[in-house]
Amino acid sequence: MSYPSYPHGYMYPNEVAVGLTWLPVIVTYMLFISIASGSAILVGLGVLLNSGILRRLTPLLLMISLATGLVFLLGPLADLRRPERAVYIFLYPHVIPSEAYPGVSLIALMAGLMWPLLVILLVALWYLVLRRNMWGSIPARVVALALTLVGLVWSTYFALLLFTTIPVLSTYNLAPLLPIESFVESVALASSIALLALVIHHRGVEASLARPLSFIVIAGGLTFIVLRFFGVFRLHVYLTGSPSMQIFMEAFSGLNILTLILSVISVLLAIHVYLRGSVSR
Amino acid sequence: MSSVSRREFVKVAASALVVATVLSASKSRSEEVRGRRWAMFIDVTKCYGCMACVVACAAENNVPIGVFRTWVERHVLPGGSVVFVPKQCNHCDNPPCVKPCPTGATYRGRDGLILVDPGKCIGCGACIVACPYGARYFNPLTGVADKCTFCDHRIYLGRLPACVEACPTRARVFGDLSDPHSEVRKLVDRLQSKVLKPETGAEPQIYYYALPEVASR
Repeated sequence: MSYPSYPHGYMYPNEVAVGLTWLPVIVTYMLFISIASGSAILVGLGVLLNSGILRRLTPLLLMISLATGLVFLLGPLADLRRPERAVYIFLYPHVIPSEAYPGVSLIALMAGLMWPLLVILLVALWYLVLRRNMWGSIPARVVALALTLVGLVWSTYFALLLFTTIPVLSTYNLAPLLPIESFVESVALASSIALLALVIHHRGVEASLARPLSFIVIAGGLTFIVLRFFGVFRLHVYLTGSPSMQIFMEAFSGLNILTLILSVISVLLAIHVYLRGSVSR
Repeated sequence: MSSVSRREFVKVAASALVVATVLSASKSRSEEVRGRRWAMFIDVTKCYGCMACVVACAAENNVPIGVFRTWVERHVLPGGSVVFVPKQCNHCDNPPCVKPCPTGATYRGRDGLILVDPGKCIGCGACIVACPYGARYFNPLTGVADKCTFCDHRIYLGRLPACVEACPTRARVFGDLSDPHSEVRKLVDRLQSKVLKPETGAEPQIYYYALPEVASR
Protein backbone atom coordinates (compact mmCIF):
# COMPACT_ATOMS: atom_id res chain seq x y z
CA MET A 1 0.00 0.00 0.00
CA SER A 2 1.32 3.44 -0.83
CA TYR A 3 0.10 6.68 0.64
CA PRO A 4 -1.02 9.63 -1.44
CA SER A 5 1.06 12.67 -0.64
CA TYR A 6 0.41 16.31 -0.10
CA PRO A 7 2.93 19.10 0.38
CA HIS A 8 3.75 18.42 4.00
CA GLY A 9 3.82 14.80 4.99
CA TYR A 10 1.49 12.06 3.79
CA MET A 11 -2.18 11.58 4.33
CA TYR A 12 -3.40 9.67 7.36
CA PRO A 13 -6.28 7.19 7.02
CA ASN A 14 -8.62 9.37 9.09
CA GLU A 15 -7.83 12.33 6.84
CA VAL A 16 -8.96 10.28 3.87
CA ALA A 17 -12.25 9.64 5.71
CA VAL A 18 -12.83 13.24 6.80
CA GLY A 19 -11.26 15.05 3.86
CA LEU A 20 -8.69 17.80 3.92
CA THR A 21 -11.06 20.63 3.20
CA TRP A 22 -12.30 22.32 6.31
CA LEU A 23 -15.73 23.43 5.23
CA PRO A 24 -16.46 25.84 8.11
CA VAL A 25 -13.61 28.02 6.93
CA ILE A 26 -15.07 28.31 3.46
CA VAL A 27 -18.65 28.67 4.62
CA THR A 28 -17.96 31.20 7.35
CA TYR A 29 -15.59 33.40 5.52
CA MET A 30 -16.43 33.62 1.90
CA LEU A 31 -19.51 35.73 1.70
CA PHE A 32 -21.36 37.18 4.64
CA ILE A 33 -18.42 37.80 6.96
CA SER A 34 -16.58 39.56 4.11
CA ILE A 35 -19.53 41.75 3.27
CA ALA A 36 -20.31 42.57 6.91
CA SER A 37 -16.72 43.28 7.92
CA GLY A 38 -15.83 45.22 4.76
CA SER A 39 -18.94 47.38 5.14
CA ALA A 40 -18.19 47.89 8.84
CA ILE A 41 -14.68 49.12 8.01
CA LEU A 42 -16.03 51.56 5.42
CA VAL A 43 -18.77 52.75 7.81
CA GLY A 44 -16.21 53.29 10.54
CA LEU A 45 -13.94 55.23 8.21
CA GLY A 46 -16.88 57.25 6.90
CA VAL A 47 -17.85 58.40 10.39
CA LEU A 48 -14.25 58.98 11.42
CA LEU A 49 -13.46 61.08 8.35
CA ASN A 50 -16.91 62.69 8.49
CA SER A 51 -16.76 64.02 4.96
CA GLY A 52 -16.82 63.04 1.34
CA ILE A 53 -18.28 60.05 -0.35
CA LEU A 54 -18.00 57.62 2.56
CA ARG A 55 -20.24 59.86 4.67
CA ARG A 56 -22.88 59.81 1.96
CA LEU A 57 -22.63 56.05 1.73
CA THR A 58 -22.68 55.45 5.48
CA PRO A 59 -26.45 54.76 5.80
CA LEU A 60 -26.37 52.20 3.00
CA LEU A 61 -23.15 50.51 4.15
CA LEU A 62 -24.37 50.44 7.74
CA MET A 63 -27.56 48.68 6.73
CA ILE A 64 -25.63 46.20 4.58
CA SER A 65 -23.22 45.48 7.43
CA LEU A 66 -26.00 45.11 9.97
CA ALA A 67 -28.12 42.89 7.71
CA THR A 68 -25.24 40.52 6.93
CA GLY A 69 -23.64 40.82 10.37
CA LEU A 70 -26.81 39.66 12.09
CA VAL A 71 -27.00 36.45 10.08
CA PHE A 72 -23.47 35.42 9.20
CA LEU A 73 -23.20 33.02 12.12
CA LEU A 74 -25.90 30.95 10.45
CA GLY A 75 -23.42 29.99 7.72
CA PRO A 76 -21.35 27.53 9.72
CA LEU A 77 -24.50 25.71 10.83
CA ALA A 78 -24.51 24.12 7.40
CA ASP A 79 -21.26 22.38 8.17
CA LEU A 80 -21.64 21.44 11.83
CA ARG A 81 -22.24 17.74 12.32
CA ARG A 82 -24.45 18.58 15.30
CA PRO A 83 -25.98 21.93 14.32
CA GLU A 84 -28.61 21.68 17.06
CA ARG A 85 -25.77 22.14 19.56
CA ALA A 86 -24.41 25.35 17.99
CA VAL A 87 -25.70 27.31 20.97
CA TYR A 88 -23.13 25.46 23.12
CA ILE A 89 -20.55 27.92 21.76
CA PHE A 90 -22.30 30.57 23.86
CA LEU A 91 -23.20 28.27 26.77
CA TYR A 92 -19.78 26.65 27.21
CA PRO A 93 -17.34 29.03 25.51
CA HIS A 94 -13.75 27.88 25.73
CA VAL A 95 -12.26 31.30 26.48
CA ILE A 96 -10.71 30.83 29.93
CA PRO A 97 -7.55 28.72 29.80
CA SER A 98 -7.02 26.17 32.56
CA GLU A 99 -5.06 22.98 33.01
CA ALA A 100 -7.92 20.89 31.67
CA TYR A 101 -8.74 23.36 28.91
CA PRO A 102 -5.46 24.92 27.79
CA GLY A 103 -5.54 27.77 25.31
CA VAL A 104 -8.41 29.88 24.05
CA SER A 105 -10.64 28.94 21.16
CA LEU A 106 -10.73 31.61 18.48
CA ILE A 107 -14.08 30.30 17.27
CA ALA A 108 -15.58 30.79 20.75
CA LEU A 109 -13.95 34.19 21.13
CA MET A 110 -15.19 35.48 17.80
CA ALA A 111 -18.69 34.07 18.17
CA GLY A 112 -19.13 34.91 21.84
CA LEU A 113 -17.41 38.29 22.00
CA MET A 114 -16.57 39.78 18.62
CA TRP A 115 -19.89 39.01 16.97
CA PRO A 116 -22.05 40.69 19.66
CA LEU A 117 -19.55 43.54 19.70
CA LEU A 118 -19.89 44.06 15.95
CA VAL A 119 -23.67 44.12 16.15
CA ILE A 120 -23.73 46.40 19.21
CA LEU A 121 -21.30 48.87 17.60
CA LEU A 122 -23.29 48.94 14.39
CA VAL A 123 -26.53 49.57 16.28
CA ALA A 124 -24.81 52.23 18.41
CA LEU A 125 -23.49 53.98 15.33
CA TRP A 126 -26.88 53.81 13.66
CA TYR A 127 -28.39 55.48 16.73
CA LEU A 128 -25.70 58.13 17.12
CA VAL A 129 -25.25 59.08 13.51
CA LEU A 130 -28.47 58.31 11.71
CA ARG A 131 -31.01 58.86 14.49
CA ARG A 132 -29.37 61.60 16.56
CA ASN A 133 -27.36 63.11 13.71
CA MET A 134 -24.24 63.33 15.90
CA TRP A 135 -21.74 63.35 13.03
CA GLY A 136 -18.30 64.36 14.19
CA SER A 137 -19.10 63.99 17.89
CA ILE A 138 -16.61 62.23 20.15
CA PRO A 139 -18.94 59.31 21.04
CA ALA A 140 -19.62 58.69 17.35
CA ARG A 141 -15.90 58.79 16.54
CA VAL A 142 -15.02 56.44 19.38
CA VAL A 143 -17.67 53.94 18.30
CA ALA A 144 -16.54 54.32 14.68
CA LEU A 145 -12.94 53.63 15.62
CA ALA A 146 -13.95 50.54 17.60
CA LEU A 147 -16.13 49.39 14.70
CA THR A 148 -13.25 49.80 12.25
CA LEU A 149 -10.99 47.69 14.45
CA VAL A 150 -13.62 45.00 15.00
CA GLY A 151 -14.32 44.98 11.26
CA LEU A 152 -10.61 44.63 10.61
CA VAL A 153 -10.40 41.59 12.89
CA TRP A 154 -13.47 40.01 11.30
CA SER A 155 -12.15 40.65 7.79
CA THR A 156 -9.04 38.59 8.57
CA TYR A 157 -10.94 35.86 10.47
CA PHE A 158 -10.25 33.21 7.85
CA ALA A 159 -6.50 33.69 8.11
CA LEU A 160 -6.59 34.01 11.90
CA LEU A 161 -8.55 30.79 12.19
CA LEU A 162 -6.08 28.95 10.02
CA PHE A 163 -3.05 30.37 11.82
CA THR A 164 -4.29 29.77 15.36
CA THR A 165 -5.59 26.28 14.67
CA ILE A 166 -2.47 25.11 12.88
CA PRO A 167 0.25 27.70 13.58
CA VAL A 168 2.77 26.03 11.30
CA LEU A 169 0.41 26.61 8.36
CA SER A 170 1.02 30.34 8.57
CA THR A 171 4.20 29.84 6.56
CA TYR A 172 2.87 27.27 4.09
CA ASN A 173 1.80 27.66 0.49
CA LEU A 174 -0.11 30.90 -0.07
CA ALA A 175 -0.95 31.40 3.61
CA PRO A 176 1.46 34.20 4.66
CA LEU A 177 -0.39 36.82 2.60
CA LEU A 178 -3.86 35.58 3.50
CA PRO A 179 -4.66 38.26 6.13
CA ILE A 180 -3.95 41.10 3.69
CA GLU A 181 -5.78 39.30 0.88
CA SER A 182 -8.79 38.74 3.13
CA PHE A 183 -8.91 42.38 4.17
CA VAL A 184 -8.65 43.64 0.60
CA GLU A 185 -11.29 41.19 -0.60
CA SER A 186 -13.69 42.25 2.15
CA VAL A 187 -13.50 45.95 1.37
CA ALA A 188 -13.77 45.38 -2.38
CA LEU A 189 -16.71 43.01 -1.91
CA ALA A 190 -18.53 45.45 0.37
CA SER A 191 -18.08 48.20 -2.24
CA SER A 192 -19.39 45.92 -4.99
CA ILE A 193 -22.44 45.04 -2.92
CA ALA A 194 -23.07 48.72 -2.19
CA LEU A 195 -22.86 49.50 -5.91
CA LEU A 196 -25.24 46.66 -6.69
CA ALA A 197 -27.68 47.76 -3.99
CA LEU A 198 -27.68 51.31 -5.36
CA VAL A 199 -28.30 50.10 -8.89
CA ILE A 200 -31.14 47.83 -7.78
CA HIS A 201 -32.74 50.37 -5.47
CA HIS A 202 -32.36 53.57 -7.45
CA ARG A 203 -32.35 52.05 -10.96
CA GLY A 204 -29.00 53.72 -11.45
CA VAL A 205 -26.08 55.35 -9.71
CA GLU A 206 -24.75 58.82 -10.31
CA ALA A 207 -21.09 59.32 -11.15
CA SER A 208 -20.22 60.88 -7.79
CA LEU A 209 -21.12 57.59 -6.07
CA ALA A 210 -20.25 55.08 -8.79
CA ARG A 211 -16.71 56.34 -9.37
CA PRO A 212 -15.42 56.08 -5.79
CA LEU A 213 -17.04 52.69 -5.25
CA SER A 214 -15.67 51.29 -8.50
CA PHE A 215 -12.29 52.76 -7.62
CA ILE A 216 -12.27 50.77 -4.36
CA VAL A 217 -13.17 47.61 -6.31
CA ILE A 218 -10.39 48.29 -8.84
CA ALA A 219 -7.83 48.96 -6.11
CA GLY A 220 -8.88 45.91 -4.10
CA GLY A 221 -8.99 43.61 -7.10
CA LEU A 222 -5.61 44.73 -8.41
CA THR A 223 -4.04 44.44 -4.95
CA PHE A 224 -5.41 40.92 -4.61
CA ILE A 225 -4.05 39.92 -8.04
CA VAL A 226 -0.61 41.36 -7.25
CA LEU A 227 -0.52 39.64 -3.85
CA ARG A 228 -1.55 36.30 -5.33
CA PHE A 229 1.13 36.56 -8.03
CA PHE A 230 3.65 37.47 -5.35
CA GLY A 231 2.60 34.44 -3.29
CA VAL A 232 2.96 32.08 -6.24
CA PHE A 233 6.29 33.68 -7.16
CA ARG A 234 7.49 33.14 -3.57
CA LEU A 235 6.57 29.46 -3.82
CA HIS A 236 8.39 29.12 -7.14
CA VAL A 237 11.51 30.67 -5.63
CA TYR A 238 11.48 28.30 -2.64
CA LEU A 239 10.05 25.11 -4.11
CA THR A 240 10.74 24.96 -7.86
CA GLY A 241 11.69 21.45 -8.88
CA SER A 242 10.63 19.87 -5.60
CA PRO A 243 7.85 17.28 -5.28
CA SER A 244 6.04 19.73 -3.01
CA MET A 245 5.75 22.24 -5.87
CA GLN A 246 4.40 19.60 -8.22
CA ILE A 247 1.76 18.60 -5.67
CA PHE A 248 0.92 22.23 -4.95
CA MET A 249 0.42 22.91 -8.66
CA GLU A 250 -1.86 19.89 -8.99
CA ALA A 251 -3.89 20.86 -5.95
CA PHE A 252 -4.15 24.62 -6.29
CA SER A 253 -3.37 25.74 -9.84
CA GLY A 254 -6.95 25.26 -11.12
CA LEU A 255 -8.43 27.13 -8.17
CA ASN A 256 -5.83 29.85 -8.46
CA ILE A 257 -6.42 30.40 -12.16
CA LEU A 258 -10.20 30.54 -11.59
CA THR A 259 -9.72 33.04 -8.74
CA LEU A 260 -7.47 35.19 -10.88
CA ILE A 261 -9.84 35.10 -13.87
CA LEU A 262 -12.76 36.17 -11.66
CA SER A 263 -10.65 38.92 -10.10
CA VAL A 264 -9.63 40.22 -13.54
CA ILE A 265 -13.28 40.21 -14.68
CA SER A 266 -14.35 42.18 -11.60
CA VAL A 267 -11.54 44.69 -12.12
CA LEU A 268 -12.45 45.12 -15.80
CA LEU A 269 -16.12 45.66 -14.94
CA ALA A 270 -15.16 48.18 -12.26
CA ILE A 271 -12.89 50.01 -14.72
CA HIS A 272 -15.80 50.12 -17.16
CA VAL A 273 -18.04 51.66 -14.49
CA TYR A 274 -15.32 54.11 -13.47
CA LEU A 275 -14.71 55.31 -17.02
CA ARG A 276 -18.39 55.53 -17.82
CA GLY A 277 -19.01 57.51 -14.68
CA SER A 278 -22.52 56.35 -13.91
CA VAL A 279 -24.57 53.17 -13.95
CA SER A 280 -28.17 52.73 -15.00
CA ARG A 281 -30.39 49.74 -15.40
CA MET B 1 -37.03 49.63 47.80
CA SER B 2 -36.90 46.33 49.58
CA SER B 3 -38.33 44.45 46.56
CA VAL B 4 -35.71 46.04 44.29
CA SER B 5 -32.97 45.02 46.69
CA ARG B 6 -34.30 41.50 46.81
CA ARG B 7 -34.36 41.35 43.04
CA GLU B 8 -30.83 42.65 42.83
CA PHE B 9 -29.75 40.17 45.46
CA VAL B 10 -31.29 37.31 43.46
CA LYS B 11 -29.57 38.57 40.31
CA VAL B 12 -26.17 38.77 41.97
CA ALA B 13 -26.62 35.41 43.68
CA ALA B 14 -27.65 33.73 40.43
CA SER B 15 -24.67 35.24 38.58
CA ALA B 16 -22.30 34.18 41.34
CA LEU B 17 -23.75 30.66 41.26
CA VAL B 18 -23.22 30.38 37.49
CA VAL B 19 -19.64 31.68 37.72
CA ALA B 20 -18.88 29.42 40.69
CA THR B 21 -20.30 26.38 38.89
CA VAL B 22 -18.24 27.05 35.77
CA LEU B 23 -15.07 27.70 37.76
CA SER B 24 -15.54 24.68 40.03
CA ALA B 25 -16.18 22.38 37.06
CA SER B 26 -13.04 23.71 35.38
CA LYS B 27 -11.04 23.46 38.62
CA SER B 28 -12.16 19.95 39.49
CA ARG B 29 -11.29 18.78 35.99
CA SER B 30 -7.92 20.54 36.24
CA GLU B 31 -7.18 18.80 39.54
CA GLU B 32 -7.79 15.44 37.91
CA VAL B 33 -5.09 16.23 35.36
CA ARG B 34 -2.28 15.87 37.86
CA GLY B 35 -1.35 12.40 39.02
CA ARG B 36 -0.23 9.56 36.81
CA ARG B 37 0.97 10.16 33.26
CA TRP B 38 -0.23 7.45 30.98
CA ALA B 39 2.08 6.79 28.05
CA MET B 40 2.89 4.15 25.49
CA PHE B 41 6.15 2.79 24.17
CA ILE B 42 6.11 1.23 20.72
CA ASP B 43 8.98 -0.90 19.48
CA VAL B 44 8.76 -0.66 15.71
CA THR B 45 11.15 -3.59 15.24
CA LYS B 46 8.64 -5.90 16.93
CA CYS B 47 5.61 -4.93 14.87
CA TYR B 48 4.98 -7.16 11.86
CA GLY B 49 1.71 -5.60 10.73
CA CYS B 50 -0.76 -8.25 11.87
CA MET B 51 -3.34 -5.53 12.59
CA ALA B 52 -4.52 -7.34 15.73
CA CYS B 53 -4.40 -4.00 17.57
CA VAL B 54 -6.55 -2.31 14.94
CA VAL B 55 -9.15 -5.07 15.09
CA ALA B 56 -9.11 -5.25 18.91
CA CYS B 57 -9.54 -1.48 19.15
CA ALA B 58 -12.41 -1.46 16.67
CA ALA B 59 -14.14 -4.33 18.50
CA GLU B 60 -13.60 -2.83 21.95
CA ASN B 61 -14.66 0.70 21.08
CA ASN B 62 -17.19 0.10 18.32
CA VAL B 63 -15.10 2.03 15.80
CA PRO B 64 -17.02 2.37 12.52
CA ILE B 65 -15.58 1.08 9.25
CA GLY B 66 -13.42 3.62 7.40
CA VAL B 67 -12.10 5.49 10.43
CA PHE B 68 -9.49 4.46 12.96
CA ARG B 69 -8.57 5.04 16.58
CA THR B 70 -5.35 3.21 15.81
CA TRP B 71 -3.86 2.09 12.53
CA VAL B 72 -0.66 0.48 11.29
CA GLU B 73 1.34 2.20 8.56
CA ARG B 74 3.49 0.24 6.17
CA HIS B 75 6.60 2.03 4.99
CA VAL B 76 9.19 0.86 2.48
CA LEU B 77 12.68 2.04 3.34
CA PRO B 78 15.19 3.04 0.64
CA GLY B 79 16.89 -0.38 0.89
CA GLY B 80 13.61 -2.13 0.14
CA SER B 81 12.91 -3.39 3.64
CA VAL B 82 9.43 -2.89 5.07
CA VAL B 83 8.56 -1.51 8.48
CA PHE B 84 5.20 -1.34 10.20
CA VAL B 85 4.47 1.65 12.41
CA PRO B 86 1.38 1.63 14.66
CA LYS B 87 -0.10 5.07 15.24
CA GLN B 88 -2.93 6.58 17.27
CA CYS B 89 -3.72 9.62 19.42
CA ASN B 90 -0.55 10.70 21.21
CA HIS B 91 -2.34 12.15 24.27
CA CYS B 92 -0.01 15.14 23.99
CA ASP B 93 1.16 17.17 26.97
CA ASN B 94 0.62 20.31 24.91
CA PRO B 95 -2.41 19.16 22.88
CA PRO B 96 -3.04 21.21 19.72
CA CYS B 97 -6.55 19.72 19.46
CA VAL B 98 -7.81 21.08 22.80
CA LYS B 99 -7.08 24.73 22.12
CA PRO B 100 -9.36 25.36 19.12
CA CYS B 101 -12.38 23.47 20.52
CA PRO B 102 -15.03 26.20 20.90
CA THR B 103 -17.13 24.45 23.56
CA GLY B 104 -14.49 22.68 25.66
CA ALA B 105 -15.77 19.30 24.49
CA THR B 106 -12.16 18.25 24.03
CA TYR B 107 -10.27 18.45 27.28
CA ARG B 108 -7.28 17.19 29.17
CA GLY B 109 -8.76 14.73 31.61
CA ARG B 110 -7.69 12.43 34.37
CA ASP B 111 -3.96 11.66 34.41
CA GLY B 112 -3.32 13.66 31.27
CA LEU B 113 -5.62 11.71 28.98
CA ILE B 114 -6.98 13.80 26.11
CA LEU B 115 -10.66 13.01 25.89
CA VAL B 116 -13.81 14.12 24.09
CA ASP B 117 -17.08 14.81 25.87
CA PRO B 118 -19.55 13.54 23.26
CA GLY B 119 -22.36 15.46 24.93
CA LYS B 120 -20.68 18.82 24.33
CA CYS B 121 -19.13 18.34 20.88
CA ILE B 122 -20.88 20.35 18.17
CA GLY B 123 -19.03 18.62 15.32
CA CYS B 124 -17.22 21.66 13.93
CA GLY B 125 -14.07 19.69 13.12
CA ALA B 126 -11.63 22.27 14.50
CA CYS B 127 -9.87 19.60 16.58
CA ILE B 128 -9.69 17.20 13.64
CA VAL B 129 -7.96 19.81 11.53
CA ALA B 130 -5.66 20.85 14.38
CA CYS B 131 -4.40 17.36 15.25
CA PRO B 132 -1.04 16.97 13.49
CA TYR B 133 -1.26 13.19 13.72
CA GLY B 134 -4.56 12.58 11.93
CA ALA B 135 -5.76 10.76 15.05
CA ARG B 136 -9.25 12.24 15.15
CA TYR B 137 -12.28 11.61 13.01
CA PHE B 138 -15.99 12.28 12.89
CA ASN B 139 -17.83 9.29 14.26
CA PRO B 140 -20.52 8.72 11.63
CA LEU B 141 -22.75 7.08 14.24
CA THR B 142 -22.74 9.96 16.72
CA GLY B 143 -21.76 12.93 14.53
CA VAL B 144 -19.11 14.06 17.01
CA ALA B 145 -15.31 14.01 17.06
CA ASP B 146 -13.86 10.73 18.26
CA LYS B 147 -10.42 9.34 19.01
CA CYS B 148 -8.37 6.94 21.11
CA THR B 149 -9.00 7.20 24.86
CA PHE B 150 -6.19 4.84 25.88
CA CYS B 151 -9.19 2.62 26.76
CA ASP B 152 -9.89 4.69 29.87
CA HIS B 153 -12.81 2.41 30.64
CA ARG B 154 -10.34 -0.48 31.03
CA ILE B 155 -7.16 0.97 32.47
CA TYR B 156 -8.76 2.12 35.73
CA LEU B 157 -10.02 -1.42 36.23
CA GLY B 158 -6.44 -2.65 36.12
CA ARG B 159 -6.65 -3.88 32.52
CA LEU B 160 -4.53 -2.87 29.55
CA PRO B 161 -5.80 -0.93 26.52
CA ALA B 162 -7.30 -3.34 23.98
CA CYS B 163 -4.55 -2.71 21.42
CA VAL B 164 -1.81 -3.47 23.95
CA GLU B 165 -3.52 -6.61 25.18
CA ALA B 166 -4.00 -7.90 21.63
CA CYS B 167 -0.43 -7.31 20.42
CA PRO B 168 1.17 -10.74 19.95
CA THR B 169 4.78 -9.50 19.98
CA ARG B 170 4.52 -6.99 22.83
CA ALA B 171 5.45 -4.20 20.44
CA ARG B 172 3.21 -1.91 22.48
CA VAL B 173 3.95 -1.27 26.15
CA PHE B 174 1.56 0.83 28.20
CA GLY B 175 2.01 2.32 31.65
CA ASP B 176 2.53 5.24 33.97
CA LEU B 177 5.43 7.38 32.80
CA SER B 178 5.62 9.20 36.13
CA ASP B 179 6.32 5.93 37.96
CA PRO B 180 10.10 5.29 37.83
CA HIS B 181 9.51 1.55 38.29
CA SER B 182 7.05 1.14 35.42
CA GLU B 183 8.15 -0.78 32.35
CA VAL B 184 7.26 2.05 30.03
CA ARG B 185 9.42 4.48 32.05
CA LYS B 186 12.36 2.10 32.00
CA LEU B 187 12.04 1.49 28.25
CA VAL B 188 11.83 5.19 27.48
CA ASP B 189 14.89 5.84 29.65
CA ARG B 190 16.92 2.87 28.44
CA LEU B 191 16.22 2.85 24.71
CA GLN B 192 16.68 5.80 22.41
CA SER B 193 13.09 6.66 21.68
CA LYS B 194 11.54 9.24 19.36
CA VAL B 195 8.20 10.97 19.18
CA LEU B 196 6.23 11.92 16.08
CA LYS B 197 6.57 15.44 14.69
CA PRO B 198 8.42 16.96 17.66
CA GLU B 199 8.64 20.24 15.72
CA THR B 200 4.94 20.87 16.39
CA GLY B 201 5.66 21.30 20.11
CA ALA B 202 2.76 19.01 20.98
CA GLU B 203 4.89 16.88 23.35
CA PRO B 204 3.31 13.56 22.42
CA GLN B 205 3.23 10.70 24.92
CA ILE B 206 3.73 7.83 22.50
CA TYR B 207 7.40 6.93 22.34
CA TYR B 208 8.80 4.98 19.41
CA TYR B 209 11.88 2.86 19.26
CA ALA B 210 13.60 2.45 15.86
CA LEU B 211 11.19 4.83 14.17
CA PRO B 212 12.26 5.40 10.55
CA GLU B 213 12.48 8.98 9.35
CA VAL B 214 9.87 8.43 6.65
CA ALA B 215 7.27 7.47 9.28
CA SER B 216 8.01 10.26 11.70
CA ARG B 217 6.65 13.04 9.50
